Amino acid sequence: MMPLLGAILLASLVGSTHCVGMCGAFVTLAVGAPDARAVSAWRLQSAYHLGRLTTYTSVVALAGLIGSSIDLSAMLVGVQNLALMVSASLVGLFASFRLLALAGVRLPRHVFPAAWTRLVEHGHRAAWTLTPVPRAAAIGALTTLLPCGWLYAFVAIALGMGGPAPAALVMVAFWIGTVPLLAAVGMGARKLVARPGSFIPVATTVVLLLISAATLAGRGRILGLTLPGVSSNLAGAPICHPAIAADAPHPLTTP
Amino acid sequence: MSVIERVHHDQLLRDDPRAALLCTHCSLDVPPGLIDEGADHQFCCQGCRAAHAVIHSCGLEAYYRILSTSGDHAPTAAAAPRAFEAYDDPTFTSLYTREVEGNQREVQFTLDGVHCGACLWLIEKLPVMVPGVTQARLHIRAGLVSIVLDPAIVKVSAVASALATLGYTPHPAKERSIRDHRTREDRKLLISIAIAGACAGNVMMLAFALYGGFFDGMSSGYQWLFRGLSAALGTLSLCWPGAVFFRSALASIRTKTPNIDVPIVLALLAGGIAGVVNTILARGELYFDSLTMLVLLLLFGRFVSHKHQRWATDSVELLYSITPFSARRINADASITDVPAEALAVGDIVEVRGNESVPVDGVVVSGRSSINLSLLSGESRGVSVAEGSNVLAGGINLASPIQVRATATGQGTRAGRLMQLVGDAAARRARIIRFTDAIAGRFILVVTLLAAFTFLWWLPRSTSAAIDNTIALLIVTCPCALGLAAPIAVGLTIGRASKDGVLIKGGDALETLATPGTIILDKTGTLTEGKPRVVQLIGDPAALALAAALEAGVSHPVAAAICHASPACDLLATSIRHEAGVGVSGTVEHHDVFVGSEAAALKRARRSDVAPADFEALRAQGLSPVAIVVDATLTTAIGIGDRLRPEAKRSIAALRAKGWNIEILSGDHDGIVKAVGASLDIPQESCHGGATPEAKLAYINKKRLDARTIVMVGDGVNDAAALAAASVGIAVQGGAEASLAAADIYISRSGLSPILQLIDAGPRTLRTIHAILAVSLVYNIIAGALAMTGTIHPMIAAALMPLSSLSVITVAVRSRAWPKPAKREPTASQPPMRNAPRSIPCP
Repeated sequence: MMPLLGAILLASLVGSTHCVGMCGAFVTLAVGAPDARAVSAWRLQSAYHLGRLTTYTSVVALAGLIGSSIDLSAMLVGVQNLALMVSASLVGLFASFRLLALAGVRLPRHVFPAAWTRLVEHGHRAAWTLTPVPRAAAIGALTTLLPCGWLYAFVAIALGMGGPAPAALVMVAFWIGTVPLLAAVGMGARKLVARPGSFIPVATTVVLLLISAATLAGRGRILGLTLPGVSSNLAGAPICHPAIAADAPHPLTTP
Repeated sequence: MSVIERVHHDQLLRDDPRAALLCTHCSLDVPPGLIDEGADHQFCCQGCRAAHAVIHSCGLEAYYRILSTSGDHAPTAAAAPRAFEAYDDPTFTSLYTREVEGNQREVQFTLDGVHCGACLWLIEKLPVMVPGVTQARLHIRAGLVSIVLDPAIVKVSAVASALATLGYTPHPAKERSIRDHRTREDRKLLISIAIAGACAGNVMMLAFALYGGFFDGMSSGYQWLFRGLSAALGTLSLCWPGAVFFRSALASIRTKTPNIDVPIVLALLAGGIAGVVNTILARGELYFDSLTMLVLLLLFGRFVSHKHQRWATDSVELLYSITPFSARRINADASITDVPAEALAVGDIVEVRGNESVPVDGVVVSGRSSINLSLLSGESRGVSVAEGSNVLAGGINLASPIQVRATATGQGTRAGRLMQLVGDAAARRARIIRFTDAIAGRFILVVTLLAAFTFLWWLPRSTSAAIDNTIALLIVTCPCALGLAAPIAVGLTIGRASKDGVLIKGGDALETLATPGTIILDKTGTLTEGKPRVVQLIGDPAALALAAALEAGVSHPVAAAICHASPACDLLATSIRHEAGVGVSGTVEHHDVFVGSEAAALKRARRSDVAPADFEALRAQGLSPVAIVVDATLTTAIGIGDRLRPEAKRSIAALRAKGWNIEILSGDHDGIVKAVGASLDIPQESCHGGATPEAKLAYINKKRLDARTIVMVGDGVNDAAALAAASVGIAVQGGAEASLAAADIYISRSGLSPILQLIDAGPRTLRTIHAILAVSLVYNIIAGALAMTGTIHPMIAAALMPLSSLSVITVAVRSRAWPKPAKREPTASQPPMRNAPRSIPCP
């Protein structure tokens, strides 16, 4: 687990230059609004980043739950680690599309559901009615809802963890990697954050491709965590009828 | 320089096509494969695009300007998030609003999400919610709200925000046609139904598995899985397709205006929360199979009743009662296409064939014909048109095909504005409508209390029964019928009346006509044909032709009567002189001829072949005497009279039979009026002639003191004051717009038949409303009792609920509150003519 978390942290640090571009506006607005000048910058920064962390972990806890459900269903047909494979494939697909776009290949333009954008707009308008600290937390929480491919690539990886807790750990690692540069922007040090070179998007995309390929090639679980009451061993796969013995070979695996 | 300007600046400076564009939001390079050709903004990813939209929606565009200058200073945060900011722009104001009285402005929006009478209550509460809004009127059929506001107190954007807060997203009315709005609304509802159906189907399959496992046993893992998936799909169904109910209920609670969605939401919440809790605690019943089916059936029911309601009101759409649904448009290549009338634009050329209605206001570009504009002008005679003539929508082409270039279409035509005038006022609340609105509000409160009682009653016996029966009660009881009954019945009557040429300005007029009182009738045109004729001739009939030649060029009803009575001749009149109030003189075939009053004739004549007693006799018969002098000899006296309508006596008797008192109030000579009254068996003291418009007003005001229903029938322009003062004013002549400015009702057809129809329509409409209310009450009592006793399942309740709305609409549509016109009977009630002019050979 630790090597994976280390890799995620590093990737997040490298890719956080894009986070500055996309979310820098929100951290600046959360921390730098005129009515927030009387409030300590550290309180505002903490509220913003903790708001982000809260929704990051909530989303992936849900994603992990879905992942474990997929795994449980997949066991019925003898496919192990289906969730991880699905998530790795999604990450690889996203990275491939991104690389093609960088190479100048025109792809069909994906239109994000307007209803989702409206939801985010509603949330931000509501956030602006709050006092500075809750507002900063709300804006931080709402960033998770923005359609950020980079973020959701890591959510997809978290989905493959097979459980809520490891999924949350993945996002904590991702979050840690984004804090330094975003905090710097929030402190008004935008000028200290150099404009990223054109290699950054390519680099981050390649990182995602590598993670995806490695996962698909290995096809292994990172952790042995499973759902309560459910054995990860195929022979002990959950059964519907109590008359069938618990240690009987599964009909689908019997040659 | 802003980021946007920087992007364009860079583009201008660089000729190298390989140069990268910068993202408007984050200033990173936009991947070449994501460049949007021709777009003002470029984005490197969907995230930046969404972030840019969010920042703009919050009115924080200053961020970009400050970012491009210093990057270190905090931007000026918007004082408050500003949605619909563009609606305060002066361009919007000039395009989409208009000034009304009192320095106020009126703006119209089409609203998303309008679906039932409860929406009308909510939206018309806007003046209470938003200071500065003085009026809000909703046209349910079109989803169109007309708002009058004081721009000094409130901005248009604030009003739009308030509407959005209520759950009805506003769009400027001119931006999309009613047809587009309906298509969009239907599409959204169908998508919701599809999603609800998908969720319900999957939850049902999971429920089958769980029910099977309940009997045969299921491992905890699978139970957990299936219950979790049921909860997830059930929650999705409630939050996505079911969100429409929650939004409506929330708006209802905010404005303290209970609507049908409040009990529905209570039912969904009760089942949903109980289901989620039981899922998490891994115990007890889940209700998601019922809830998801409930959402599906409710949405489907809403779709069906929406369509049905739309069909009912469309069939009597005011504008299409006088203009056609479709038109034949001539394309640039001379081909002809049938298009909906709504699709016509200014500049289009349309073909109008004989006996067809003109669909647009415009100019004739080809052809000659005659157009009947009786509804708009009150003039039933055809008006000749040729190339270059103006025509109006709603006119009937009486003769040959013509081609018309449109100068105004749809609501922009004179007919459209007229129908809008009627339609606007049709929302005026009759007492019965206000009564049913109040009842409906209390109804929901009573149902909620009964639901609480049901729940508490069943809880000690069975928790699942308590929840099921409470849900069933909340769903099956429906106040929609209460809210729909009166507006639908009144709207259908008004729509059908307009097809018959009777424009009714408000439901309150129909309600007032239901109570018999006094009808004060005008004489000319109502009791009589309105066309003076030569009724009697005393003396030399040959003088009539000479008089006709003299009067041929005179536009006076008496002149028209003389010309009509005389056979056509080629006599030429010269040296014609008109003396106002006296008569006309001239030379015809070397004869000196004078036509005028008796007194003026006696002054000119040296000899008279007609005795003074003959003139008296004419007056005694209610005729206006006219003298003809030929070569200084008074040779002929003619009696000019307006024939009584053949049906007048019968109609008067019918009105009396319905409990109405009849009076005549006319500007014509008192003797003539009394004579007409006598022939119709109207008491002499109820016949008043010689009345000026001021005298008529004073008379009406005096009668109103009796506090009975006073109906005045008169000329829409000349009698405007008296019409406005009466309980119900009915204009029978004059232009439609001018008439409706003062009167409650405008009749484009002459005679008493439309008045009889109106008198019948009032009580019939009330009876229809009472019938609908009775049906609704019986349904709610029976269905509510069955639900409370656990006899019907929530799903059955969901299926029954839309049926109640359908039955209400069906009763209203089939009621025929507007009666069909009576058949004409060939009776004659006028006295025979004495010395009738016979065929006179030309001298």
